Amino acid sequence: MPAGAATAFAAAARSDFAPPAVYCDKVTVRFVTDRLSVTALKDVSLTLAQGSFLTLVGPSGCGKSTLLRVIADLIKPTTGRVGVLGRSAEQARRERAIGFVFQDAALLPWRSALQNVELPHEVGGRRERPRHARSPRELLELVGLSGWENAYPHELSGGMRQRVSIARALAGDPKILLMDEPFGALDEITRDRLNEELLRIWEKTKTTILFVTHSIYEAAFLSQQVLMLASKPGRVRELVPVDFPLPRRLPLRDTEEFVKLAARLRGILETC
Amino acid sequence: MAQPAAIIATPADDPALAAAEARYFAAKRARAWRRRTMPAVGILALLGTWFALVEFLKVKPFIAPSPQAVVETLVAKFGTLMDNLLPTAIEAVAGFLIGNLAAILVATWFVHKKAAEEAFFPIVVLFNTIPVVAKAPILVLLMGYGLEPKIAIAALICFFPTLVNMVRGLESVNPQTMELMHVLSANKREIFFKVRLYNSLPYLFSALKIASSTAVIGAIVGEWIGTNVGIGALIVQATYAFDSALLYATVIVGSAFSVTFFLVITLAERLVIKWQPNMAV
Repeated sequence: MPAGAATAFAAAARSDFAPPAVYCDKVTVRFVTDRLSVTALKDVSLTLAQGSFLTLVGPSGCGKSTLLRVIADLIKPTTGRVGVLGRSAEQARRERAIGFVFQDAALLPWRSALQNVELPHEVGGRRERPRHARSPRELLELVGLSGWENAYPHELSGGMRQRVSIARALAGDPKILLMDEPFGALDEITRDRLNEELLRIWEKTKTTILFVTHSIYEAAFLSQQVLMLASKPGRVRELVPVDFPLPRRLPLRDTEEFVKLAARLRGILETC
Repeated sequence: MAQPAAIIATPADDPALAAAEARYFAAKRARAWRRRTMPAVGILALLGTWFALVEFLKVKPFIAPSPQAVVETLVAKFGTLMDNLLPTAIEAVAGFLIGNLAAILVATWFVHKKAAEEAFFPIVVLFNTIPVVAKAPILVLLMGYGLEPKIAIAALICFFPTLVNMVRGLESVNPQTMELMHVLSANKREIFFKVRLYNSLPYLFSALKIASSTAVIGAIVGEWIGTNVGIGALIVQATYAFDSALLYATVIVGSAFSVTFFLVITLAERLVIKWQPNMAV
């Protein structure tokens, strides 16, 4: 276990008696196929405190999505340890501690917006809604879709579909939200608007968010920390803190500090 | 023209725009009219050609009938035709239901037990290569001369296309949807009833539409041997009696039933599938 990760883990445990939201210790993932074997992640260590917002940035093939999938228990690490809220990733998944937002909204086309948000309560064993969790209707309202409850996915725009999928990921009040390039396929204006709204939702729900993106602007605008990953094999390059105060609004991106940070991130990205 | 700077002109304030709009709707109406009338024109042309050929080439009535002779037979022997349609219809519909239900169940089994698919799919393919006309006598020997062998033939003929489509429909779930179900810790049963089944419906209905016409063909072919009722039997009898008008009338009744069956399935599809299938969402 690297000393840095261990102390951060211990510090997090001491400070508020809460385990870190996500804890990865030397996680390595190798994919083996007939023709070639790829090391998608190599010794990635990471500690993420509860309630924080981290973005993962890096070139294609640096294992950003793989790391997200390891945390969500979609992929088992080849070696290394993964902890989610002090439990194993599998246990955390079974307890519904994790919400996942995919790159394409992955809505069920035969279900209305509301029925899609209700899905998490219908599967995975007795899934009563936690008492304080928002109802599916409230979640649609939270993502700005009141009045669209009965619309089918094909009647919604790309941005609206992604909002529904965020509402679905928030169903049952997960402690951690994993987002895999959720706004990658959207136009810039929609993307900007959703960025602002995601920050608003984050402040409201106090969910821990891990957000994968290609865009350094999105990363700098959204998160408190940017984890830069290098590719071949995917490994941690640098963890960059982002100190802009909350609440953040879009004009922040025109400030000198923001432009400077973006330039710095781009500089790092070029060496990845 | 010193027009005020209206950004978007509406037909109300621009006559050229109004004319263009009128032209568009006129063209649209013309297209709709054409779509409705042209099939009728085609059928009339076919009947006309048929009539002319029989009339001018002086074709003997036992070789090919004229359209009027067929219509007269349809009216005169309507009772006989319907009496023979009934068993065929029962066999086709029963075979359709049994064959498709079996295909759906086997597809469900295959999707959940890969080993079963690997073991039995080659056998299914092998059976499918046997022509219907060869299966018919085998089944008649096995099952006798009643409705059963005909129902079995209709069922067998439906089985294969539905099985292949259904397996594809159940398996071709968007990979991210499968990941979502895993994140939600859904079990196989939930994945089947909440995702796979719905995902397979568009595939199932394209198979059912094919099956609706092939089931009727299966029943008719089954009636060629060892029976004296049904559309198939009537076809054989009319042929040996050189009653070409009855033969044609029988064929028309059989086709009309097939088309009706097909339309019923198409209607059911529209009622069931209200979403837009095959879209990335």
